[in-house]
Amino acid sequence: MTEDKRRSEQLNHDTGLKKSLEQDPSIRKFFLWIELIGFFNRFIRYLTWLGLAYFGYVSVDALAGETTYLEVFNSVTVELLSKSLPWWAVTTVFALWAILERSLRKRKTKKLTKRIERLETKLDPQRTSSGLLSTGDTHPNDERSEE
Amino acid sequence: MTAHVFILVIETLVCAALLVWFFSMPWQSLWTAVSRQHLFELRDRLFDIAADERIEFSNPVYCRLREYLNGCIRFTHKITFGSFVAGVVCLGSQIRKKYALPEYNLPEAIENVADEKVRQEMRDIFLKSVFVLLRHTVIRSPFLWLLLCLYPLIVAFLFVSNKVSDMADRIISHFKWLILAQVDLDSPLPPRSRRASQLLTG
Repeated sequence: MTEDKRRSEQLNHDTGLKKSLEQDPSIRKFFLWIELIGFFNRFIRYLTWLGLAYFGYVSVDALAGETTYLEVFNSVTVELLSKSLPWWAVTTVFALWAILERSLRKRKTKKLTKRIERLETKLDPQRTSSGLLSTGDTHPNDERSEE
Repeated sequence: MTAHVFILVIETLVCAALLVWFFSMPWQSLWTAVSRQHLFELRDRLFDIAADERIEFSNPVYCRLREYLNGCIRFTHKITFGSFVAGVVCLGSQIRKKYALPEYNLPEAIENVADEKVRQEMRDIFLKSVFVLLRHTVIRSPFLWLLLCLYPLIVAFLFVSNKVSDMADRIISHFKWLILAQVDLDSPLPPRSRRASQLLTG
């Protein structure tokens, strides 16, 4: 059985299961709670972004009419390029390193997954899958409402 | 506000925004990947038991434990403190009823495996998977950290305030005794009718 066929069978099974589960009022209530919690999480996150943006706006507003662009430019140059530059540079280098490590891990996982699946299927032809992508990521069909 | 202070404020805001982004995106996917890796290791351990022919691949307990691990791996990204609380609130009684039935009770099914060593290993795999999911739930929820951090502080505060009030009670009672003793010494009454001796004899 190919991976695509197995996946579409699983998807049909999941859709049927979800429909039958939604008949149950307590499960409907559970899904409603999950939606509400997701909404609350998103609300808190957007509120945080809004708060940060507001503080940024207030600080720009406080500066208006008191300082010239030249002074701000000078400060940015002095502060960021002389005092803070080492920290930003180190942070950027570590972030790049983490991104490279992550992409390497995904490439390696993709390569090994196929090999393991092939070898294990030889021992157990009825081998069941976790339903993830070969890179180890969540399948897009399962990704909805990931918070 | 000077330009220097402005730069400091902007730097702080950018750092705070980066932290918010980090805990809401990469931190979540990192711990999903870490928990999945641990669950994959447990699933491989289970596979090895069957590959060593200590249990059959078609054994119903093996199949159920593998299905359970597959389900955990597939939906690790949806397991959060919020979904756990919602599950307990909405489905708690239903789950308890369902798990009373032997066909849904995986720990009980594991206890029925004939080979003792295999049974022990399967039990270990199951318990470790529960531990992985619990840790996953705690680590992914900054809101829960806040509760967990505040809980010892509240307990410590209550403990200290109780101790302080106990100590104050003891000091007050000590001074009460001293005052009563002083009053008794100055009293013209005979010793048996004095207040301190009455309190001592109950």
